[in-house]
Amino acid sequence: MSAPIALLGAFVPGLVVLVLMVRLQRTRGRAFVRDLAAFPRLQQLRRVGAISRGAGAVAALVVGGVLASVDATARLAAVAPAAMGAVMICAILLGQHLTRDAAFHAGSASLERRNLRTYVPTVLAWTVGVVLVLLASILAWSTAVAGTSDLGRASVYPYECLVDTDNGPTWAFGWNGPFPGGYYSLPIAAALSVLCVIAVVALILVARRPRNGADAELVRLDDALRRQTSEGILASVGLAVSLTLLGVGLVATVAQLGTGCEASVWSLVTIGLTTVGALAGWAFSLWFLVHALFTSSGIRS
Amino acid sequence: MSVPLRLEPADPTPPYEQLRRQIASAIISGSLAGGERLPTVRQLARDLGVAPGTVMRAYAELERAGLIATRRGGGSTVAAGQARSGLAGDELARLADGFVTRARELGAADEEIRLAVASRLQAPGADGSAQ
Repeated sequence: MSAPIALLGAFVPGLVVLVLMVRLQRTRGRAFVRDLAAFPRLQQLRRVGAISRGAGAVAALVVGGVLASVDATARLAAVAPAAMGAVMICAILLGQHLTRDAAFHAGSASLERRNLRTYVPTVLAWTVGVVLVLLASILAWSTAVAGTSDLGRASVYPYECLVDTDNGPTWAFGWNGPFPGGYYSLPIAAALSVLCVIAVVALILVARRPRNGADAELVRLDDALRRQTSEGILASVGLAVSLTLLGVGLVATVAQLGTGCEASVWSLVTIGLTTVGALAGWAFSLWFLVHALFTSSGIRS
Repeated sequence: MSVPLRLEPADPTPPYEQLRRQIASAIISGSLAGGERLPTVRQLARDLGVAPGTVMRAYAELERAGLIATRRGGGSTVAAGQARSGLAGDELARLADGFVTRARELGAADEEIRLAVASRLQAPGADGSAQ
């Protein structure tokens, strides 16, 4: 019981700071909400979007909790963040689908090209990319060095070193687990790949939602709403990747620290890498959680 | 650049022709520059609430007229060098719209309208040389 409380204790202060930051930068958002009053259907789209993000987060928590508790090998727990991200994106898409005609007016449009890049927030996309690369590096290394447990699973960290004893230096060897070897890393990679595909499809659907491009004010506000939705989708992916990185980094670090061997330069590097991964996973989880739940106004000056 | 398009349900002109006319007018007037990419058939059809075939036909007519170029998988782009004097293009499109609408109200068939325009173009002094 103390571990979840400690985890919560670590998350809450950072979460409060980030929420305050987001609230402070949303001053333009108030004007945006005022402008939306002239377009009741867009107002409804915004409301439904916020509700779907909240409901998606709750559903994701339930799914994550179930997956983490049903499998004794923790293999399902390893893919739980990806499943949670998928649930959040599906909830956002459901909200979009329910209000898909909010900006539509039959027989009126404009010759504009819209694709997923039009609405994807660049900084957020790059951040997701960086976290993905960090996770992929740790998973590639852990898969390469992992040993096989007595159950035949590539899920342990093998070690072998000289230890000083009363009878002189003797070889100590064994393994620590769990460790993100192929038994865990391959399902994680597969689940995150599927999540990325779902996210890309979702971003395309957001860009393709029909609209009356002939009304400049509607276009301005609708663009902002699409950017908000894209931010929610991208942040859901980022949250899933970051939570996975946090878990993988923590498990890998703990497995390496429990060998009893004297630290070599190489082991210090790998422990450093997995520790940085865990810390980055923690920090980026907060960052993406805030973006997933409290998207920015989406207005561009 | 975003060019507004409107399909008038009361207009007896088929939707694809309304679309073709408006896009052609935008290209000739210079509102759409050469090389500019047009929206995909599916996106424009969804935005307007028409069948994809309607947009596809309008694009095909524009391509036949040399106003746009379509590459497989690359979408449609405005053909280079199609813009005339902006004002002339706009004005001509407006005059033509008015003339065609009025002629149809009088019950003229499309072929009769074409013949009337052709005969006026061939009439003495129609090239503006004779005063």
